[in-house]
Amino acid sequence: MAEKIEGSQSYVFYMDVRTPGKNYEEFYKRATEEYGAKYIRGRVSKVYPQGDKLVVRGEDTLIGRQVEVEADMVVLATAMVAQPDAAEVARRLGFSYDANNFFTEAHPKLRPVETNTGGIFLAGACQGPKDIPDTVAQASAAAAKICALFSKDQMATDPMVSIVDESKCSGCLLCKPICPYKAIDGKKITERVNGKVLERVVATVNSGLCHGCGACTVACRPGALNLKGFSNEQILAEVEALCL
Amino acid sequence: MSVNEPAKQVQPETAEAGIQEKPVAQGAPAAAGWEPKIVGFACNWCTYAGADLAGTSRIAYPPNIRLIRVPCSGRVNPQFILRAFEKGADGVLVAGCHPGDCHYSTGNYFTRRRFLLTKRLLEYIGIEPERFHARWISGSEGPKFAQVAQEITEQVKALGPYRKPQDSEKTRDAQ
Repeated sequence: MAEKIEGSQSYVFYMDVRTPGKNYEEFYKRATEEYGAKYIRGRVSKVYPQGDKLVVRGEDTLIGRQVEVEADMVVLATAMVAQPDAAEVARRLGFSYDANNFFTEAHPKLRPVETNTGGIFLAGACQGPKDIPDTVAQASAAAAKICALFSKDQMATDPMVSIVDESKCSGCLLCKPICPYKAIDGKKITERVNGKVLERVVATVNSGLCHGCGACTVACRPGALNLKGFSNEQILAEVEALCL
Repeated sequence: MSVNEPAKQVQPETAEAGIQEKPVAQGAPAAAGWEPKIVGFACNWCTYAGADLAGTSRIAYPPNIRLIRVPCSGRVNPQFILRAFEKGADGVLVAGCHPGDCHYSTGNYFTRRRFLLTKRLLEYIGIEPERFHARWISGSEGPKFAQVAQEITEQVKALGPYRKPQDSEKTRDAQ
């Protein structure tokens, strides 16, 4: 404050002062020593207008006395919340969000800038409360991930992905909503049945998006979906071998 | 060599179970020394790692449980469970990540709903629901895996061997 408005005096009510971050202690030191901000340990009980000023009444627990500060401006330390439409955005794009409507990363340690949906990356306060250095770091990471994605002509993925047996698929697309990666979509195929050319919808798996969880294989009623590497036949054979 | 002792203790049981398996599959009454066969479906990311941890931490657990690795507990089709019982398993365990911790975000939520129904289906077709268990065991819960294996083995042992309904035995004999 004192940097912007000369001769101003700021008061900070606090319970505990922590500066979480490298060199952040400097900010606190500068505020108290250079700009003379007064830190009062205690909670504020009341803020009320008096004339054209706001009176902040609180307790200074270090001296054990009530204090009143006449202020021109009161800044409340409110919680950082997500954008009101954040959940809607996540739902439309098909990735997850947490109880506070912040977008969730694919893995907190190993994939901190990716979402569960391939090709969608996170940077900044949409993923959680963040300051500028953290946001810049995350944005740089996301940009690097995207560059890596574009640096190759072909994408290397896990070979264990779902496949559709189009001859069995009834096109009910029950598998579509169950897929957490939006990897399943409907497509039109033409086939010749009894000399007639018919057009029908079947499910198709985008092998670049599929992570091979196998949720769709269980949802598939005609049994048209199968998971490479963990196919129904393979698992049933394992079951039979174990029960011998 | 004292660390190796628990592992050695379980070995004779495995051998014994191998000998006793045939009469069990034919629905014979529980013979002395009968050991149940339990098929466990373990999710690759949590329970399989948990079972691995139980092994590497040298925690002894009953050898009756035989694991099948699946990518996700959501991969387990109720059909697999029915097939296990059909082929002579005495119990089935489906284990995955804790709800909310699924590697594939939502897989185990489907598992949870699906196996509430499966339990009722099993009851309806005459299989004691105590023979089927769905549990959440994370990759760091080695001792929990051993404990679950112990619990389920004890429960299934108390129930005795799973006997298939008469008619299905007849059809199998006819084959």
